[in-house]
Amino acid sequence: MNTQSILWGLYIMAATGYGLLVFFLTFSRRDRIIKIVIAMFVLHGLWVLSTFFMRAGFDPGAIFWNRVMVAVLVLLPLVVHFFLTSFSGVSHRVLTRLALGGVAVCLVLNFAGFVILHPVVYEVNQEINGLEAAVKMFDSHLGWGAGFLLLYMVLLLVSSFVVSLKGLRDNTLAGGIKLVFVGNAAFLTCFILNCVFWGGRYPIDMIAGLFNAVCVIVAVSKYRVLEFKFIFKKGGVLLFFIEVIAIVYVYAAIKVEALLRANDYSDSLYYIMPVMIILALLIFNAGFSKFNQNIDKMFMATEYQQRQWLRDFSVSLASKLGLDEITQTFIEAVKNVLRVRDVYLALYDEEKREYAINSRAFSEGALVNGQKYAFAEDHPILTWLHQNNTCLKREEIEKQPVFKALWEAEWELINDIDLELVAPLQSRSRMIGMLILAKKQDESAFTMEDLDLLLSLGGSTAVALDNAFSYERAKNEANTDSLTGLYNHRYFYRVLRKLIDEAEESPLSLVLLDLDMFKLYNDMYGHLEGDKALETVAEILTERVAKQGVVARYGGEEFVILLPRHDAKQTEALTENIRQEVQRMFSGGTGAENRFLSISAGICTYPAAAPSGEELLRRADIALYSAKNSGKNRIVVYGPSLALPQKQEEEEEIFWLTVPGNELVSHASTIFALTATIETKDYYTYGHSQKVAQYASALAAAIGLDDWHIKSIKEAALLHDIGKIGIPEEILKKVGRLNEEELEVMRRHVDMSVTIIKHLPTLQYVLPAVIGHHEFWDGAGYPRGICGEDIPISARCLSIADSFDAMMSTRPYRTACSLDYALHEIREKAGSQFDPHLADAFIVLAQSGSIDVTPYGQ
Amino acid sequence: MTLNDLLKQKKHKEIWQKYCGFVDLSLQDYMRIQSRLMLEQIELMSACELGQRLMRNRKPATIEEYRRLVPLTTYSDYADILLKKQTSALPAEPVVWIETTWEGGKDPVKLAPYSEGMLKAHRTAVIAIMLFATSKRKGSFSLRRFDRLMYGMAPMPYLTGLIPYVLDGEVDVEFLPDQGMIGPMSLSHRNSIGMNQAMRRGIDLFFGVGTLLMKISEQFITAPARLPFRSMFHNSVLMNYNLTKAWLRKKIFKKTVFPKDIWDLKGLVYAGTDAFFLKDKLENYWGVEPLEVFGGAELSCIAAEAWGKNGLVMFPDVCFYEFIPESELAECESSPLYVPKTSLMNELQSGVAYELVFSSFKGGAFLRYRAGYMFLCVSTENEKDGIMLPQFRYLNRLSSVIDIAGYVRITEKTIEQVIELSKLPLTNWFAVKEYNVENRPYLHLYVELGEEAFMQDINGSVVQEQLILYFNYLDLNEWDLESLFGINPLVTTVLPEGIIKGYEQEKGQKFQKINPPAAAVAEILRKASSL
Repeated sequence: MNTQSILWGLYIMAATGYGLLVFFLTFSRRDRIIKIVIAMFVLHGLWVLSTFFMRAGFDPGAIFWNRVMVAVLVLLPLVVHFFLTSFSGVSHRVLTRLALGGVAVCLVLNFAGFVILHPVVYEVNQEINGLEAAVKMFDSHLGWGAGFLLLYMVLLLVSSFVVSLKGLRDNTLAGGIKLVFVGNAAFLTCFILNCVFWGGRYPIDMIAGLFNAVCVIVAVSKYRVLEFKFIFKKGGVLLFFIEVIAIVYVYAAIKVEALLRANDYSDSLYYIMPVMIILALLIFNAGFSKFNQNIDKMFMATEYQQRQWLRDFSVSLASKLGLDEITQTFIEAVKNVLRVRDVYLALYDEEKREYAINSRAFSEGALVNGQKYAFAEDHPILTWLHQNNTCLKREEIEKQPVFKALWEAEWELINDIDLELVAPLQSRSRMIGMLILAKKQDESAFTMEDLDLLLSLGGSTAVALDNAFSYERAKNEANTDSLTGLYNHRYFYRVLRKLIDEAEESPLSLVLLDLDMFKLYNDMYGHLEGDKALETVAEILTERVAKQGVVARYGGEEFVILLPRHDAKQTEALTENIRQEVQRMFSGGTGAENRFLSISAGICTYPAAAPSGEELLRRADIALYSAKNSGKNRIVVYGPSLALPQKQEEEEEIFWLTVPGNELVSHASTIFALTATIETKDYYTYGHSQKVAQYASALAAAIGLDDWHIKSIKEAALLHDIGKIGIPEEILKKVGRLNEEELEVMRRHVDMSVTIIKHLPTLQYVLPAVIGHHEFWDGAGYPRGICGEDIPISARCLSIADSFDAMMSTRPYRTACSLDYALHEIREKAGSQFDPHLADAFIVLAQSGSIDVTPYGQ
Repeated sequence: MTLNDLLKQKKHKEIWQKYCGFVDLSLQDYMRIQSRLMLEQIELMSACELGQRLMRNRKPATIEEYRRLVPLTTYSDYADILLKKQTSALPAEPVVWIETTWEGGKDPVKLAPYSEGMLKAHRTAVIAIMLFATSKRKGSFSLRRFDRLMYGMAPMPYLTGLIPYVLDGEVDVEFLPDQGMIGPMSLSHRNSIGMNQAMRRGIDLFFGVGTLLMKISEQFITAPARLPFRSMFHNSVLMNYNLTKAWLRKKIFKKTVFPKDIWDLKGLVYAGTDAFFLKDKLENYWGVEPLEVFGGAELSCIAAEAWGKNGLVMFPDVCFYEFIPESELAECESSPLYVPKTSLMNELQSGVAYELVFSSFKGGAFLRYRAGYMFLCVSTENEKDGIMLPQFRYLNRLSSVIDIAGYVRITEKTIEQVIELSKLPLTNWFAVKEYNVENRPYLHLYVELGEEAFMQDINGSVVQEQLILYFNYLDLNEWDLESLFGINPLVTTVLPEGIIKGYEQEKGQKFQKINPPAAAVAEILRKASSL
């Protein structure tokens, strides 16, 4: 074999090698990088072929093939540039434009003949092993364009390398970039050496070309290990399969042909051969589909397993709606596919505005150091994920300065859970959670492919999780009372039925609980405060009952507690704790600040005291009624003595409202006694109270309030200044204006009134009017600064009547105002001090002469 | 991963980002780090006795609330707990206690606890300093494993002694002198051993107090030329070549030999009062531009210059920084009960001097602490180096002691002694530390001459000569700063007699003799010029 033969052999080997590479790569998912690699190998193959054709003297001649060869060399650095920038993820527009410009110039120079001058292929006789043989040689001269071309190639290659390496974010790719640079630099150097010094005598450029191909393959396989291994294994087996089929076919064809010819059926050959081809294709097709089915299992056991998991995950994800199920499935999938030691899922809690890792999000049901952990919204990792929306590696956390903001405790957690990678879970451009991965089982680093896989898995799961969130939210909303966050009436009935079914012989206690005089509380402090009180009681109940049972808001100010495995005694003890806690919470403070709220409760236990769920509830209600009826703020356990036939159904509110009405007559003496006391101390106040009672009750009647309200407003008016009993006489009867200090003392009369009336339980219904008669419609009044309709209607009536009489009366420091002036003042202050609607009604009342506006005693 | 590991793997880009990347932070990100770590400190403080006391048993929810609630503090607010090392009252377990002198305090020393977290932050800061010192441009540094570090600073329990402690196990650095052999010896002795070792092994990095560096350099330059023949057998060829070359240069050609002629230093780090004006000379001596750093026992190392070496940048994760502007300080001086307002890093103005107020991070003990450190905000950003953070120059420390270049410490007592010794008829005086046009510090003594001065024909220049004479006498000739650093250390100005007393009567308060308020000095000078 001579040198020429070796050279030809090398050309054929190289061309076949590149062809095979391109063939294998076509199996791959053809993203930008793979396309560039294919282009690179196509160029290499073209270069080999053009060299071969040039040397072999193929048409249209050596010059043409030489130009093609040089054109390939010009294009190669450009492709390398695209490869390096894509591989490193660096975009450099200026360099790319310069590269394109350079290529255009070089191509023009090449085809215009300024690069290689007079390329010729000639034969020389060489003595090899004592024999003369013709050897093809190549000769040419380099033109000035060659210098430019060389400069362009070196500059482009080096600058692409530097730019890619500098801008690299993921340092694991640095090795790959260096490898590609070294491979291409070696190739170009060998080519130049061969061209300039040895006239193409030695095929070192060919060897360097193959070396370059190996470098590129290694670099890319580093970038996408799994797929490349797969492609080459699969491609190799496919090639083997084709070859076997081809050999069998050729062998069979030769045999058949020989057989036919031997039997003189040569004419049939034209019919039989196509049949054989079809037969071969059918066999190939069947074999190929079988091959396709089994090749993954045969050669890619791990990867196959991973794909199976992914497939299972996709299938199960589509069929799940529960948050717990989805998180568990997702975590298991991630753990199996990426083979990580542990996976944690932190989901966004809208209420607490944090991302919480909780027990259900743990792959093995464990908690971090036995407790829940949450990432606050300003956590640096979250800020980074929000800004970058991609995976964050541990090394970045250790390296980037923004993570200096991490607390020591946060670092501890990162170390405790062995955090290696964090991935955001985005749904509808909102980060609904983050996935935290510990190290891989084999301690290897996460590859780019892992990250891509995680992001795509996360993407599909995030949507499912988001839907699950919405579903859970809707479910919760349907079962939850929006004010207190407790379960609602409907959910309670469902649970009651379930617990009764499950209870069998074990006790199940039911506590029906009601806030005493809540209507009065609402009237006195306004609905906002009333809501707050309900929330507070709900918090107490939740805290005290905890996991022992179920707490629900039964309706209005009624709550219900279900306590499985609690007998009456245990339940009573627990309820007593709750009663005391409520009492403690709503006592303290003086005067207007004192919140007098308590609870009454009725208890019944299944099956000892009630045979069914319905009876359990009904009898607890009877016990509650009993508690209410026997002085409130107490607990009654249902017993046979309490059983009442068809207990009255009226609401507790009606119950207490009707009581004062019925007992008004008996209260009159108390009221009279109190007003008499004030009369002896301050006659003006006594008379003033009488007049205010007259005005206020007239106003109440005018605006259409019912009788009971009218009467209660009248009584409140008689008592509204009762607190003045406690004001020193020198202030009460001071001639001249009160100074600031005295005014402060004077303002305390409201508190004192409240304190006095509170000790008369039967008169407590006047409290809302008394406590609120100095409140202003715009909130500028005292003692509580409440505004608008939060001020009870009785107090609003009293406020106008009180001010009107004060203006119409002569005081030691001023004479009485005229009616016009007083009404003008009321009109002026309507909307600021007074309820505008009531003010208008009062003005009409006074102007129409329906009320006697003469001051008391005149 | 330690610095050693990263250096082994040649991950220089990662090293730079990890330790020096903070200079690339935007001011917004910088403030985010500050605020978050302050909230962590509030959390820690609220759980300990010291913190509850300083925060008045409340836990501020925001930085604004914290600044409103916690008063400005001094060491007296901590002394009862810290001097007794009452660790149970602290926010974190101290790992080491750092000591410093307590000028004017009721105890001779101040103690400051350092938690594990603080030491970690200190380690990062020290490494950043080493990287900056050995870099000429952003991201490119020449620090390598087994570099030799000449360490001319005080050992533990002083802050400077923490450097070998925190670097232990983090990076292989060869300390000169060997840390194992130094034991309880004086700083000068240590330095002399270190320099001898450096003659044999070479130096890559030099850490020292500015003025001490100058002293070592001057001693080296003035030392007689001598070849250490015995040790030359153990030296590298390059070192012997450098030594021989230097010897020839000095002995034969009678030329001055500088340290740079023997050592090819990678970085020079210095700290200390007024050190910045030594920069040019040090660069000339050592052939490398020195890098200034700043730290203090209570606050740890908080600032360093970057590769450009043109202004201190404060580390974002060491302390929470607040700054009292000059105008607020003036307000305080006129009304002692006035509580000055502080500015944050993102509220500073270039060209304005500020007193630093700091709160420790990571379980340190100090909250809104005033140590009297004055900084000039040189610029709010450095476009040239691409640093978008304020840069500073350390000026001095507000105190009753005037410190000139770390060499001369003048108290009221010293000046009174000098005046007494000189027998000059001075009736009143006050002293201020001022800076000349080249930013070099000097002592400006404003004096009033009695009537007999006119009879004896004593004028300003006579006063100056006499005072320098007796200052030298008292301070063992170290007052000769002029020859050392080119500083004229004393300037005197004669004021009309009775002007200080007049001012005192007018204001109803005694005039501060050492470093009186700038506004008061200006007013006296205005009055003097109008007479």
